[in-house]
Amino acid sequence: MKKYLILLASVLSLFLSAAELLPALDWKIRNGKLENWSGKVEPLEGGGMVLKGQNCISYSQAKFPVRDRRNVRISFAAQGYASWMGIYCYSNNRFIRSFLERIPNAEGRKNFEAVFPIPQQIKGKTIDSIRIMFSSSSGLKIYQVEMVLEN
Amino acid sequence: MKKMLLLMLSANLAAAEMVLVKDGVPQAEIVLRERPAASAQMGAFELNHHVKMITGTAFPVKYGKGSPGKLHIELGGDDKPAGKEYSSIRFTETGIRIFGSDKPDYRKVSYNNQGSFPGQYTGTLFAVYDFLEKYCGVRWYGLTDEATAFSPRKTLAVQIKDHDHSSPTDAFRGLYNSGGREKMLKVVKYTPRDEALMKLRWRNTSFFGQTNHNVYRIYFHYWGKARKKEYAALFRERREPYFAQGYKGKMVPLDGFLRREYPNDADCPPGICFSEPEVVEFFANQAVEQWNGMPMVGLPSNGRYQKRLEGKPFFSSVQHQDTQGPCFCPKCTERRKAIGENNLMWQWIADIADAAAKKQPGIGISTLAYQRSLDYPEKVKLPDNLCVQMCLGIHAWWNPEFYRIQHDEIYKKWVKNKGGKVLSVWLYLFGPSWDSTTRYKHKFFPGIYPRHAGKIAQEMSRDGIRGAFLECELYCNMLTGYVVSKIFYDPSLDADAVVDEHFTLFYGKAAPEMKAFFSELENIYWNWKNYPASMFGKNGVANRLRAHSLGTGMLNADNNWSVGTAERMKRLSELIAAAEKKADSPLVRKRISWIRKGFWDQAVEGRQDHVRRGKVNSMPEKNIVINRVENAHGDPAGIDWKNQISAGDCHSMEDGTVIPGVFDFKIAADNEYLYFDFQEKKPQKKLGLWGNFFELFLSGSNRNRVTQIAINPATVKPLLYLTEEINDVFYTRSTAFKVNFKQLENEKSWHWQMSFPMPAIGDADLRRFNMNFRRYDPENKLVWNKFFSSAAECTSCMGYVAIRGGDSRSEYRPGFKEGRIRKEIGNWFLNKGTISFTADPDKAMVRMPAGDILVCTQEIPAVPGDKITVRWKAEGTVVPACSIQMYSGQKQLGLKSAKAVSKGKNEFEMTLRIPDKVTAFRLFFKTAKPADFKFGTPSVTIGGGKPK
Repeated sequence: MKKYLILLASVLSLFLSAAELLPALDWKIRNGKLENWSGKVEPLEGGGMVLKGQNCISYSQAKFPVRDRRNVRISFAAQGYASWMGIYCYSNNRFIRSFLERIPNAEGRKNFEAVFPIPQQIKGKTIDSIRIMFSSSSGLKIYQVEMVLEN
Repeated sequence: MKKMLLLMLSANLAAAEMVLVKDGVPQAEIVLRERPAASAQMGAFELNHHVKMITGTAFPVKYGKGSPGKLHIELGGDDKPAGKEYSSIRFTETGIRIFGSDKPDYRKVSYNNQGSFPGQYTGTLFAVYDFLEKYCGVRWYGLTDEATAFSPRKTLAVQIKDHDHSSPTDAFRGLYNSGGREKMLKVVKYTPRDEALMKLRWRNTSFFGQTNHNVYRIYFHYWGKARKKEYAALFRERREPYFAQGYKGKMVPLDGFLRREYPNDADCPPGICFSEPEVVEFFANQAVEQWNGMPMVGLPSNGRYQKRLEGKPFFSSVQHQDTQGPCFCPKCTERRKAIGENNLMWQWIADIADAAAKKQPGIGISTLAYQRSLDYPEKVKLPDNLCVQMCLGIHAWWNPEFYRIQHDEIYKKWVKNKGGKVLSVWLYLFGPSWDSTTRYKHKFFPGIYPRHAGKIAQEMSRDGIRGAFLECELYCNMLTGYVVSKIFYDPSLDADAVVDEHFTLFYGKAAPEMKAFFSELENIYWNWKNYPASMFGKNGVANRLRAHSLGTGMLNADNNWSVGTAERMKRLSELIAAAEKKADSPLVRKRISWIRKGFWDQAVEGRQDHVRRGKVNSMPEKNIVINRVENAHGDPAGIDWKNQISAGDCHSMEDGTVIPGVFDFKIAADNEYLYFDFQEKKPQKKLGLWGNFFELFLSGSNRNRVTQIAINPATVKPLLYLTEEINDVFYTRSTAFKVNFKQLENEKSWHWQMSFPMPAIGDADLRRFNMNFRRYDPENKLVWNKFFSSAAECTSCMGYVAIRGGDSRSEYRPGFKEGRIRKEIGNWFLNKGTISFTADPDKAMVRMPAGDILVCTQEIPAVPGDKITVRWKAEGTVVPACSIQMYSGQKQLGLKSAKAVSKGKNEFEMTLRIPDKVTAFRLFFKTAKPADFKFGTPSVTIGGGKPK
């Protein structure tokens, strides 16, 4: 019963709030790897380390359905240099385009907040889901990644 | 008793009805007073006109007393010069009394002459309209009797039920056909009388607060002698400080009314000074003169001056020119910096309202919240004696971002801060038709939205909006104009019901198809998800339209036609064809033809154009680089044409196919002139100008100012046009400048040469200009760059010509801007260090470890041979060295640098030349030692390159 109540409450909260906080961006480890992140990323205490080098990209395992939400607000903490973050846009599970932004260099851990508009269509294809991504050529520590879809 | 019997006989008591016409025989008379007011006279004409349309007969009209034994329809109101506007219908023992708030205006009304129709206080006439609508089922859906819907019947019985109405939109209700009479005439033949009647039937009237651009009298008094004698007589002396400073010799656009009075005055300013106390005094005094009913020479009517009415609030209208440019006097400049242009303007209005009220209690000032003054002025305490008419582009409220700006952030803020002010609206009932007509000139996919507009009008009425002026393109949005007018007159109506009944009453058996057609159009137009994603988001079109009342410019051909897909067009065309098939009378077929002529047939053609446009525009953009030649002083014969660069091949307007070698078009430039040489080696057909022509379109740094030059083989003097954007509308007019043109051959082949001074296309110093051209003859329709159907559309369809060498200069300042990561500079980055904002927007704090780089993301276009000069400020112990990162298209070509020289305290300058193949560069700073410095935004000057 309790389970159902929790489920009901979470469904209701989705309907009631204008913004939608996306789950599954934590740092759970399974078999020595981060469960919810793909790419060249390794576990770190309370976060992840995007590895140093060319093509070192890390992205969320999950693709998040965007429905009619047109913005994604991403807050995160990061430490490192020469790094980028952004979103990958998908239509029917097919990658269509990415939108990237340079992360200001941070010698120590620093909090950031980014807002990316999500186009409804790109090249005539409807964007139905997104992934968050980070890339770095000199290594980047990332923590506390939260994504909120907004209207 | 006899009267009672008569009523009982005529009235069907079971259904509580009164029979006014029975089997084609009138049972009633219209009874007017011996000396009826104009409103009652007009009411009698209109009642009889419609009863005759319904039943084939009309009521006899009696004056004073009616005939015994007949039902009497008494028309006549209170004939008071003042009071609340109302309309009433009462059923009495002897018949019906139809009356309302009428003016004691007893001039004779001629039904054929719209000049004699009554204007204000037409309560009885409006009560007649209420009667015809609510009791007799008449609806006016357009301009002529053929657009009037009713059920023909020989017996006319009306329900016995009293009626009273007083519109809450009590300041004014107006309509202007912004689509123009000419376009409407292509849909339906109508007269000015028809239009006047439609406006009355849609209950247009005006009592107070209606506003329009009208600051003209101060020019006639204190700028200079106007052309018209009557206005010239007002001139006292020149007082330049009253007017916006900074426009001397610029021949800037003025409102048409003013430019006609000062046709050749290049100094005439586009606005007035908002900081000059005597200007405030002028308009406060003008308001008092208006209150006292003094003549207002120099103020045209049409909402620019409204006389005071007894018993109504009085507002003197003060609204700056449509072309109002900022005043650059020291005081305005300083205040603008402190509070912004919007607050500056509203403070000026507040000052006039305060000053006028001190001179004459009871006076108010009405003005528009329009374009840059649309936003609620947070920094001004507005007095209550204001009538603010918000100018809102509700046609574009389908765009959720624009809706948020204009509805949530602007309109609702005004409503919230209404206080004792009167709020009214000027609504633009436009659509893609407006953008296509005034800006992009393509055939459009229509935007129809009667249901949404009706609901918006209801919300406004609930919010206490007391005046509504509609600017509507009737040729395609007649129904929207009708619904909004009806709702403002009677907000208790249900917008959906008003729309739904229109189909049943207007299209007979074809109603389901026409309803489906209109509903589908509205659903397509008013759904933002149908539009391209590029229209939305941070760089979306709405964010550029904050200070933009009209909400136009969103729908260029591509955006507009992104919703008019082939599939939708097919379905809509099928619906309209099915409606035509089901139409049960020639009248219904005619009404459907109005939709075809108004917007549908052109939409079908527009779809074909769109397909062509897509094919042509997928071709790569044309860009060429030419060498600057030795000065030839405007003589094309002085150019060595053999060594000049050709514009290259053109492609077909139909499908984009490249058609090589049809003609050779060469361009050259020196430091003062542009030169052109055209040769086509085939015999020329002698046709009219537009049967065989070459047309050149050019613009300088302002892409929205297009010079158009048309030439055909018979041309002696090329036709010159200038297209300019003024407050969102593109205007094309003939222009004149010095052109050296010579036809060298025009029969067996066609060869001409031309030159003109560079400033003719807007820039005195040209390094790069935009160009497109088309060549039409009976065999080919060719275009150089992208497809366009007009100069206005051409603004976004041009390629460019870069001129290598010469003395010309351009300047760039990249500044420090926020990116997608909030509160961080997004247009500069470093490998290791940091860059952050300071309180001064032109300065940033930079920390760079040894070996770090600082790069600006903005690519600056360049031409090989260009000389570039970078100037920057840096305050700190160690200052980084400047280089440029060069690009050829997308490809990186490496770094180039030169030694920087100090130009004073903390100021540096570097100069270098752009090597071959470089098309763009980025600024790049690097340091060998750790550097910590305050960085002033650099400026880059380009120009003065060497020819190859």
